[in-house]
Amino acid sequence: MTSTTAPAKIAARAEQALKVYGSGQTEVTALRNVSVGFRGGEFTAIMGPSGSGKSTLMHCMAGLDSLTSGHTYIGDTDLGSLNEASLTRLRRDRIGFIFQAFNLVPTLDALENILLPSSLAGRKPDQDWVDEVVRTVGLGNRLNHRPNELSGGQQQRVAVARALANKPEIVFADEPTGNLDSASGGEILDFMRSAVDTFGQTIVMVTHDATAASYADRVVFLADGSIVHEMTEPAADLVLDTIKSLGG
Amino acid sequence: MFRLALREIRGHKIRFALTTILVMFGVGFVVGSFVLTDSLRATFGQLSSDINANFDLAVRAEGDFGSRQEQTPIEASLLTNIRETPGVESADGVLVGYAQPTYVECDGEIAPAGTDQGAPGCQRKAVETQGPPIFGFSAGDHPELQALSLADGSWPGDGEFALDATTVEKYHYEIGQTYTVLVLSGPADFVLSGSINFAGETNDTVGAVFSVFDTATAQALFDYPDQFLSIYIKAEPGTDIGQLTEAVQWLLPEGVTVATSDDLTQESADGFNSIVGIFNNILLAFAFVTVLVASVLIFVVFTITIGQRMRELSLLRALGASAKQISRSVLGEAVAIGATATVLGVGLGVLIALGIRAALDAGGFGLPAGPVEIRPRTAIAALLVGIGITLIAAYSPARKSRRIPPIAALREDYAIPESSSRIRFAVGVIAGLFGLSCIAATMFNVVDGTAAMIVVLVLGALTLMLSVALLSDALARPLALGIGAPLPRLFRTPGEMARQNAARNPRRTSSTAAALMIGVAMIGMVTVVGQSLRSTFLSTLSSGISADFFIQANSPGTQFSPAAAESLESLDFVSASTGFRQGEISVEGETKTVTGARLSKIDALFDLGVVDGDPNQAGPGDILVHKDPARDLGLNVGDTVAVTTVAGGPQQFRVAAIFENASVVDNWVLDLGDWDANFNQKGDLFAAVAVSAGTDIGVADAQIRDALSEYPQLKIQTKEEFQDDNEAQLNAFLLTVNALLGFAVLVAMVGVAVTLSLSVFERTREIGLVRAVGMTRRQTRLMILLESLVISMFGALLGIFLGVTFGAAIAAIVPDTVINTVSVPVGQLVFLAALTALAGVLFALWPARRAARLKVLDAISSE
Repeated sequence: MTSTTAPAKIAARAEQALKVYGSGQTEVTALRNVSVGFRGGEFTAIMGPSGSGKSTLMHCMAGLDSLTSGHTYIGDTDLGSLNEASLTRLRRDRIGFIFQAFNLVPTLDALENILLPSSLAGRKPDQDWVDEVVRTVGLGNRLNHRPNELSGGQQQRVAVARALANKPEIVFADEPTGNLDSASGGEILDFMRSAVDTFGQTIVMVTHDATAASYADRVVFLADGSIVHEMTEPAADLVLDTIKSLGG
Repeated sequence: MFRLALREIRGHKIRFALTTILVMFGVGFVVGSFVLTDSLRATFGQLSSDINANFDLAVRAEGDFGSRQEQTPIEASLLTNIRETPGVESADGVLVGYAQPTYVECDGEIAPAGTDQGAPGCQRKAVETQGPPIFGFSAGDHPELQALSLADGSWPGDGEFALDATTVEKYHYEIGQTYTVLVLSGPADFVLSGSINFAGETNDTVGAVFSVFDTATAQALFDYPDQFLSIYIKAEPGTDIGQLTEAVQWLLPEGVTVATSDDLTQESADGFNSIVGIFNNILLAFAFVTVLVASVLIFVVFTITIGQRMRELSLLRALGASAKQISRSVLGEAVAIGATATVLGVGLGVLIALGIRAALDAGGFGLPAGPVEIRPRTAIAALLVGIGITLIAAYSPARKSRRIPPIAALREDYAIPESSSRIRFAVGVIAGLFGLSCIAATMFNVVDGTAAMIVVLVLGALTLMLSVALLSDALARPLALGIGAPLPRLFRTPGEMARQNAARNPRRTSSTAAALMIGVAMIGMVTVVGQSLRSTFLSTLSSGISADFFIQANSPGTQFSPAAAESLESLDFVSASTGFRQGEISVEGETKTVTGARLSKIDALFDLGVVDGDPNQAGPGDILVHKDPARDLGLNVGDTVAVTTVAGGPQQFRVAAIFENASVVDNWVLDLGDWDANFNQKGDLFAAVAVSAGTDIGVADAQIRDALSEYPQLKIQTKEEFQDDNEAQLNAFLLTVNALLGFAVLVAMVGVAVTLSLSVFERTREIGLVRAVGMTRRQTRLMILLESLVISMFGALLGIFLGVTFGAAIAAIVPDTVINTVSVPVGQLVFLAALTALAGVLFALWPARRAARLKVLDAISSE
């Protein structure tokens, strides 16, 4: 267990996270006492084969799912101590999400989707910041289009903008490029990278794509519900080698 | 493929249950109305033959004026000759008239027999009914001929009366005691000689109250001196009825004839059945509305389900299922729903029938015990409605399912091509124009005849509804956005999302709303017609009436002694008064309803709208005629008109005046001086009194009550009380109709709930997404509730638009004497819309809860 509890500010962490689905014969252990931390301003990729528990880890850390035992924290907030309403507020105010697909509400246009979390909170968004995010992801003239009028790449750009617009403490991305061609995927990853570099955004991304992982500062490898390896400054070929050596 | 349909049902139990419930209600109403009316018919058929089982032949006057009670009396001397005819075992004269027994009540309790009505806290009360008749018979020498039998005591002699056993028991009458009975001449005292059963041991009077007298007393009380209404004959065993008929016919004067007991059975059954038939038609009309609503909803639910199952169905296609097999599996599900609903609906229908029967019993109609009749016709109707309607409604979605290509399984974004909106639009416009022109045709009297008018109007209404349903596709988006416009400001983001959701699938929104529209349209229509009726009524009452007091029996439609109204004439403050009666006359071979009143007094009590002549100078021998029949028959003031009456035969009356306001009196009015010689029903139905200027109404009221103290069956009302009373009755009637129609709206609401929960299911991922990025459960619930609000409002608006159109058309078509103004009750319609919206929110609680409870993770994790 390589627990990275560095002295720098920790944006999110898990302590002895255990997650068991089902019971008896159908019991599946998705996370086996995982402890991991994500530093502020760092871009971390979580990799691992199907069923390794990488998505479960992310869901539990983002307050979408609950642990069987152990703790997850956003900043200093223990998610296990929060009720459903507080968790919803936490997701709305402190976390940004990018999913693999179906990121946008079809009845809202691009801008409305970007502003959705703050409008749900009944808050005025920081207009300068939103303008900057929108400019960065390059959506300029498509802001008033509905999702079905946008290409897959454009839709994911809107999703990235939404995740960033609220100035969240941390962004969780679940296979954000999984449904995109490599060119559009590359653009999305560039945006995420520059969000970390320019704005100091913390991003945790689940992926099984070595190229995608190579955009990260650090890669955490999961297998069978445990962290089996960790790598900083990952290059795509190194990541691939590691996957092969881990038997993924 | 049927197995697939069954699996589908097992997988979606709630959807199956709710759609089944929708159809079940439709079937239930249809079955309920058939079972109720068949059972009532069977019961009344049995009763009719029981009543007429104990005699073979009846002698009576030929012809009638619509009802057998209005029958020309025959000479009593005929009875003697008939009794002497060989083959006649027994024969008796039959008489029917007015007799209403009274009792004494002290402190709200029925007092023991013999209690003085003057004792403190005591007062005389009349036996009352709410609908069933109150009347008297003659027992004659052979009461069994009239299906009368003695329950207790003895048959009445001179100065005595007997009473039906049910009334005796209910009001604690005691044999041997003296009671006051209200008869034509006023109150009269009789000793109770016994209690009587009618039509067998159970006294099946169907709620009627009847007193029995000996023949001489009955002739005197009912005013048939030496007369009978008919003579019942029982033949000796083994007598040839045909020969006996001929033998009796020989004895009879011209105009008197012999009928068989079967004829009379048929007549009384027909009499009952015509009432039952009206009942049946009303219930079927409600059933029709419910079925219509249910079928629209089945269509919507199936269409949505096909959309949701597209990937699964296309996978089946890819694996080799034929298009036909796919559509069969869809129809299979429809058949399963229809069959289940039919079985449940038949049960529900029987319950509805028993419930209405119990309600009728509780309402004072003591129905004889009878079988629950489920005829083959009822079963076929149930199947046709249950399975037939479901299949028809599912046909188009099933056809659509055939068009799902195998490739759809592999493509995320495949959508079934919709049928061209341009064709729908065109059909909608054509249907709309057709419907409107049908309605216009009836409004502007292009169509002749009441029946044709109703057919054209209903046709117009249905096509207009179809048209609105088709066109509402195009309206759904702009209207939903319009209705929802204030929501974003009021409820922020959930409001905006609800508004967009309601608008996102116009066809679904419009079809869901269409079901609601039908129910609301019906209620809107009744509301507009009712309001028009009310304002006509109120304006007649306020402007056309100068009478200050109204007197009528507490039991609706029961006559009372003319002596009551006559006793008021001597009061010094009374400026004008008269009793009013009703009868039937024949003019140029057609039966007409005629009002009897003192002609010279009417105009001082009601504004007749005299066009020509002077009713104030009219009297016996004169007749007042409404301007329409006067025009049709070419009658002018001073002309004579040939009229045939039931008791007086053909005669001439002089037209004294022609009037145009027939809202209180009938088209023909005769003087009371001519009444007794010409009609059987000699009692007043109501009386009106005007007081001279400057009279204190309170003082007058007290004195009138004092003068009528011997008539406890009368209700004395001031003009205002009369007005309120009538309005309350009208309101109660409208409320009943609307309550029944409300049921169709309820069914539509269940449909809204089903559609919404299907939409929630369909949007699982979307709801999961917004929940993930921070929508709270409360906000999610709110969003669904508001969406339902918008859809319901949309349906309500369309419904109210249609309802007002239909209602205005009907109000315009109905004759001016009933409705002379089209009045749209804006307040009530707004209330209706608000109620519908509220119901929409209530019925969305369940899908909203479901949406709020969705597991975020299930919703967003990729399959």
